[in-house]
Amino acid sequence: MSVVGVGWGLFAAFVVLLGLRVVVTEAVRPTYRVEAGPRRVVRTMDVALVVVLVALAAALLAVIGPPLLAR
Amino acid sequence: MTSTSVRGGRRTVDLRERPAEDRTGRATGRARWPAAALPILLGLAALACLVPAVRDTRLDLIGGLGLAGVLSPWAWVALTCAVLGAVTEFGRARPRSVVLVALTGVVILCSTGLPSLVESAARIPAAWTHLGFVEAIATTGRLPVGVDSRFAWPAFFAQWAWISDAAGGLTLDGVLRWTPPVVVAVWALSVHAIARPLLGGTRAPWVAVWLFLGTNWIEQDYFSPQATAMVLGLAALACVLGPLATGRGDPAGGRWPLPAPGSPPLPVSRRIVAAALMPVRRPEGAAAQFLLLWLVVALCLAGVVLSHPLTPFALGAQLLLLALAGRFWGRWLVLVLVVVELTWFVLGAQEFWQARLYLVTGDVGDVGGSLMSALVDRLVGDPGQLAAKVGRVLLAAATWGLALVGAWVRWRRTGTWLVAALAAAPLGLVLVQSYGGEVLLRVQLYALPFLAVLGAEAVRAAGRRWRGTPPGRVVEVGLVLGMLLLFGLLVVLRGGNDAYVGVQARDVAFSRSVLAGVPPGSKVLRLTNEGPIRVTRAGDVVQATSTPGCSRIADDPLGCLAKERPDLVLVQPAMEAEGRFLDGFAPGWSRAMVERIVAGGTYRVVRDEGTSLVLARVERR
Repeated sequence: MSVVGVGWGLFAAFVVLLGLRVVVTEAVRPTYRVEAGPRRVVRTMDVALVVVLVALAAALLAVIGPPLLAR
Repeated sequence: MTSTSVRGGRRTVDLRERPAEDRTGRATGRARWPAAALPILLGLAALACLVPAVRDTRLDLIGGLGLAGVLSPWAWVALTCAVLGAVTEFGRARPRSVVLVALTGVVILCSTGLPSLVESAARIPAAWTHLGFVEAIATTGRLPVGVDSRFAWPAFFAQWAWISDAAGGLTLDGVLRWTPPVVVAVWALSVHAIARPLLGGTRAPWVAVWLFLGTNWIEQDYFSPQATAMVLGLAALACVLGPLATGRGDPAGGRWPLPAPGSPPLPVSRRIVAAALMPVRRPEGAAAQFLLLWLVVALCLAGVVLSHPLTPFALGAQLLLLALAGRFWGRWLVLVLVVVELTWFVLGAQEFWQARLYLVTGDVGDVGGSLMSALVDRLVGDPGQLAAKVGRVLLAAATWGLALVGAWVRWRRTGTWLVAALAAAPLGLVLVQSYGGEVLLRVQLYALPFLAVLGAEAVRAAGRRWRGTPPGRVVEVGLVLGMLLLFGLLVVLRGGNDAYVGVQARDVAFSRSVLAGVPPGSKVLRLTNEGPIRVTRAGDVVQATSTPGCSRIADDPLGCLAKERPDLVLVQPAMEAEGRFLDGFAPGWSRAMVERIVAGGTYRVVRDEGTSLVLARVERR
């Protein structure tokens, strides 16, 4: 699998995770801040989102970085 | 009839005569029908005047001043009736929204829409190029590779290819012709949606709409990705400033967070972080409503990113400002825009940055170069051309001047500079891009909705200041004269280049017939870059120059033809007009240049239809 493919996969993961987080915090459990269980779920989602974003940034850098440096 | 009111504890009597009104604001009694019908009758009169206007306009006499110089007097009568109708409705005790919408539509048709009415085909050569791109996708089902950098942002072209295909190979010539008035009407609706929450009231949003329409000489509303991106961007802003609008839960009420009394001022970077982290108040509304709105905004943002390279940056700057000010619910939408933009640029637009990254990085920091190419280099042409171009600069300066007054008034009223900052945000583009000499046009376009809001704020303040001042209806008279002047000027400025950006249906047919007969892989160039360019076969016939210094064959015909070696060269009336009115060449220069080329022995005339002809390369054995 190419880096570009991995990048698109990570982008899809970002969209799905962000969508889930928004639906959970806004519609399913809007009281997540004061309930321990939902709060833990949302925090886990936040960590996953950060990880996906960092990985996506790395993939994007891996694609555009070498041509930029070569210039 | 007189009215009585209490102001500052003192009873005042308004002695001006007004027709009696019922609870709905409609005039009653004898005055009811004429007063209610007058705006509608004026609108109908405007539409009726357009018929002789189309008949009597002499496009064959068009000169350096463009469309305004050859327009029938009926067109000006139509515009006057439309403006009077809109202002008359505006002046009623309770303006009817439906009638205002309809009359604004008539004003658009009589100003922005005039070229669509009187000219036989869509103007602006780039619109025809875009049609060629749409056709290239529709016929092959794939994006052409290595043809043009605009295919790296293909959403607009793919969308119309899909529509054309779904409609059974629908020809889009009519769509091209009527795109400007339709797109401007959609923009106007969005500006009203943005202005209503920012200004409040009933009339001020309409003033903002008319200011937007009257100062939109920029002509980015043709069949183009930027026109669609602007529609999507305005839709996102309308959602963000409308149903998603909110403020912070603190006493600052959504302003820039201030340090506690007695505390030392924080550095700007710390204040930005504090502003970003401070929570905002959830606005009233159901969760399903917010989810739907967020989905719409996110799709709009994605559509903007996939359609156009520049619009996401202007829109992103405006959304970021609103997010920092805590003015909308769902600030993570800014993150969505950033991630989609970066991902698409790096992964989706690879072909662009692998070959043309210098287009992005070459102008960074060259503000002087960007301004020079966007402003000074454009002030050329015959007296008519210069008048139109100086007029555009002056109108743009007046728009910013009025907005500055409005920003001051708004600061006095609300204590914030946010709308002024939203208008100024696109100016940052000048720092990083010349955008082919068009960066100031784009900045003006992206700023215009907020400049119009600020202008309406200034007009409203003036109206309140001078209401009731002798000689009586000074505000109403000022509004009528201002509107007539503004929209008259708009017709002059927008049509200023029509001598050479105007396209006739016969020129399109000529281009298509020439391109239809060449084998795949041929190279067909033009003497200059006006006329219906790349109107068909954009994917399999090379129709662009590739040698540095030869972007326009006419600048060095023999040298550029020797380097480019096109199979065919097209000469059309728009090219002759461009040379005459923009470059100061003598009438008949294109024919003289053709004779020079033919005398060189490498090319010969193979098709001559008077104003249009085709040169073919002579094969040597």
